Amino acid sequence: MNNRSLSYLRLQYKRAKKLLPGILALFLAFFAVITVVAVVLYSKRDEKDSKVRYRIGIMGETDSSFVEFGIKAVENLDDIGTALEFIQFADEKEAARAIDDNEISVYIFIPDGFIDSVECGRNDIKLICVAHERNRDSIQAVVIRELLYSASTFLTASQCSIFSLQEVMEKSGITGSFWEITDDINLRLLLDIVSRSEFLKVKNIGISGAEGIEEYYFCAVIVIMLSLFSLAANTFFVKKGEGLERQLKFGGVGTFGQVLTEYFSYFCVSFLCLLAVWMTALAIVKSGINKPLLGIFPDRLFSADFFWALVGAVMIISAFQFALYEICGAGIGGMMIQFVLAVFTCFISGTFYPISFLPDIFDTLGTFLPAGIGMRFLLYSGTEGPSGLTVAAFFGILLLCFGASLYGRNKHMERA
Amino acid sequence: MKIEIESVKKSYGKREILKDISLFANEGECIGIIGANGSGKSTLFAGLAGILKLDSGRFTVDGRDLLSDIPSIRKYVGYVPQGIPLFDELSAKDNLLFWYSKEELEKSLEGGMLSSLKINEFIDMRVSRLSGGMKKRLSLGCAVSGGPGILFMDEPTASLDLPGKAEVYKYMDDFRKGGRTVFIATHDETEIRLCDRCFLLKDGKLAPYSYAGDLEKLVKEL
Amino acid sequence: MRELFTRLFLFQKRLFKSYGFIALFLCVVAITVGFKGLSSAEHGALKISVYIDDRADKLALGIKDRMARGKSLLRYSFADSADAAEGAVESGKADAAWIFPRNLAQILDDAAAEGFPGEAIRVVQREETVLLSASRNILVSFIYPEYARAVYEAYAHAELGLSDEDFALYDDFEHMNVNENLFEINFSVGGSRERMAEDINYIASPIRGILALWVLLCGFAGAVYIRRDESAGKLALYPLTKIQGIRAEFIGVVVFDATIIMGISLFLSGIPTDPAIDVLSLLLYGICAWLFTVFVSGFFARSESLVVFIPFLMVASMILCPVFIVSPAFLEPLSTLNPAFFYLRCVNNPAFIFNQLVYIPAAMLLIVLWSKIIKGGKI
Repeated sequence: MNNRSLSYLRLQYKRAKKLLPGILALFLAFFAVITVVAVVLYSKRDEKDSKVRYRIGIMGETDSSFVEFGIKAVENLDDIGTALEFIQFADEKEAARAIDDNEISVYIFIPDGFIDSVECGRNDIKLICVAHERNRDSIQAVVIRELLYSASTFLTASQCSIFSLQEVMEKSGITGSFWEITDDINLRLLLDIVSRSEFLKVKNIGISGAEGIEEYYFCAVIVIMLSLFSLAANTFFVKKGEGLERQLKFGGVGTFGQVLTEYFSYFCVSFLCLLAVWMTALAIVKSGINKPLLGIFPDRLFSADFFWALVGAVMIISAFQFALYEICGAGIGGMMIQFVLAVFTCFISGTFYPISFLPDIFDTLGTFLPAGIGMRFLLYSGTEGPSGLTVAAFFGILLLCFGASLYGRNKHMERA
Repeated sequence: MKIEIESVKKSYGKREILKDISLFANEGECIGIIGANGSGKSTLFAGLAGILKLDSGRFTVDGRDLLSDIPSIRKYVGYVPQGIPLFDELSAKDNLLFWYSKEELEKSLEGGMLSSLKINEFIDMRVSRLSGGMKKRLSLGCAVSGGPGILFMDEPTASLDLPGKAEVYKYMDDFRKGGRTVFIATHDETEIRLCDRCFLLKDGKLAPYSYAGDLEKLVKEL
Repeated sequence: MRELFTRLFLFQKRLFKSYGFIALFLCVVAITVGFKGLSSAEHGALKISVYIDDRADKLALGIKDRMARGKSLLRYSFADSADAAEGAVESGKADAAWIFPRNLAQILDDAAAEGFPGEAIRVVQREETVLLSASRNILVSFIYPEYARAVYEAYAHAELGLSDEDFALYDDFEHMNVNENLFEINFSVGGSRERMAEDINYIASPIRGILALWVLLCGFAGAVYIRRDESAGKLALYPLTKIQGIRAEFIGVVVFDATIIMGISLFLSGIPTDPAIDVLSLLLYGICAWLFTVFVSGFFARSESLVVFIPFLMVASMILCPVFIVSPAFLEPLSTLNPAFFYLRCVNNPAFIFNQLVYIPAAMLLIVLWSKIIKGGKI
């Protein structure tokens, strides 16, 4: 960099000094709000029980002993991990209100004739499980469907078993203890269903070597904030449409010098804001204000490795946003496309839903997206480190972004 | 000082912006380049200031081709682009410090170009608080930091009020009095009248133009 | 009125003069359609590394086949060894490992005969979560039919004392035909119920919310743009009392364009549900978004301040509106301030159209109050 570029860098430094306090204050204020919301949400979790309790409404033909026994068995004996609590409702209106108010997760309506249809094997009347419409296209709906399908399998397989035995008893002329044996196999199968975890030998190996969900989302929130930060900050670091680029070039700061200098100051402001948030988080966690936080946020997140990972993440994401800004400008179109690309690239990179939820193609794409590279840097620092491909993608995308910024700046200089 | 611009050409792809532009100027002259919006005035000036690469042509000052030695152009040429190329958040002084060293700035403020622009009046004020005229004077101050003998001004009084324009015209006058040459790209009647000679840039070609006060005729020509 | 329409037309023309602007709009459509296409690829909430030896019995191999063919909440990968399956969990490549024994059928038979379920399958996971506990239900459902059959056979031999020949004569388990699905899932929609669609793509479900927030962003971008024009003196010919109206007009044009693009994007990516409800709610949303952005941008005197606030507004909207998460109940009063909240709820529950209709006059009233009473008619 020549002297002129250094002068321009000093100029940008002065600008950044003036603008940083305001941006930093907003960043910290926002972080404070997020923290409060997260702490409130987290504290509502049932920490005493290792099991998650779900409250399920039930109504309809509930006066059958079969249903009553089933409810008791599931509530008290089911051992697979999720605790269920059934709450009886007099009618569907009451249950719908309870679901609206989040008092229950779902309710089950047992239509008249259901028990008969099950007892005789027709199975032509179905139990209706009702969830709230806000969960319509959610993963919760899919989980419910899978669980209900499993429950159906247990029940219908048991039916096959019982009816087959009954048929054998009829064919072989064993009628004396027909109902006794039927009740016995019925009870046997029911008890085996509620103690079905005994089919499995489960070993929990702990989360070391791979991140827990809180850790994952800590990194994800950083990437999201970085990706959207540019919407606010870019306009401060690039002056367009005023002839400044031409004058700077005239003054000896070529396109390369301008882009590098402006990017560097933007990077510094982004990084300083993020650093402030990171150190605030570190201070809160280490202060012991909320002891459980110490457990869920490992030391790795506050280590030197993570610091360097932050540097890398800020570099690549801010380079991408900077390039977008150069190509698309600061007008309406520029802001629109920046937001859309920021959100979709974050989505694909697994910041909203864990990457494991997403199709494999997203994982592949995420390797080459700035938000994805940032996530990988943050997630794998202090452990196995980002892969060689991620590092190569980092440099490749960084160069591409600079190239695009230079191209955009040159084009703008010609058109101005 | 003899200034010659010879056979300057510039194209963007297939579109020819400047077709074989030639003209000369003498010291102390004010040369006006008149043209409609998009005629290529800004491109010509940016090219001659070394900002844009011209396809071909020479720009000589006393026989020395400046386009073959771009880094030295600032010693000969000052360039004031359209708009206000300043950082609003910073003071006038901070903006000037990009172009001048501390010592040069002090010297110029005392008795140099910047004092004739009366920059001292607002040297510590934030640019965002300056009037249009003050901003333009400040831009001029930045442009002439190299002590040039030639000044390219691209629509220097666009969006200025009357007092602002008057300040710019006064400076142009003072600049020329020192034996220096001013080129202005304009389509403002007052500025055209100030020029010693005018050229009309149309369809990429430059031709001498004598403005006789008939605005309607000028508009038709554009 | 004519003047108004002329201004609206000219604002629109101004935006569309730039090919780049049109190109950006088309980019949004392309990104949406592309994303929807990609999201249809195979996905699942959990990755399970399964080890079933090639020399395992027919039952285990049959389960492997079903896992490979079926579409589920879970995504299965098949490891070469038990150690490899466990290793996948340790390294985080899989959420759980299911290691099947070779003689699965024999183990189930023994368990059925001896009167208790036997540990048939080894499960290795990092930590207990709700999803993993749900996945174990799915795992047991793979083996339970065979176990139930084994229990029936055990009873036939032990309780009924049947010989193998007699049993073979009477056994008709294979032809026992019961309807396998005992449950139906419905959704509670304003007091009534609607059946669950067969195919749910939860990956694509946030698209509508993202586009809704994007429309809001476009409104704010329009507000920034028009304020910059004001600073540049482009509205100098208009009296002060009209400026706020002109700002609102420009924002309205941008929001209108964005709403149209949103509609096209949703339509082309196959997301809409009920077309009539979709179109109506989208149009109402456009109006609500316009009023919201006019109102909120009115709090900011300078475009720079608004620009800084925009990303935080967007993130807050993502939390408050049901885009990715359903916000907790205590935040709902805040959520109702954001028009995207009602629009996104409206899609599943048309009753929220009423809320949108109420939002419009309420927002208008607030805007009028803000400009007339609080600011004394001046901005």
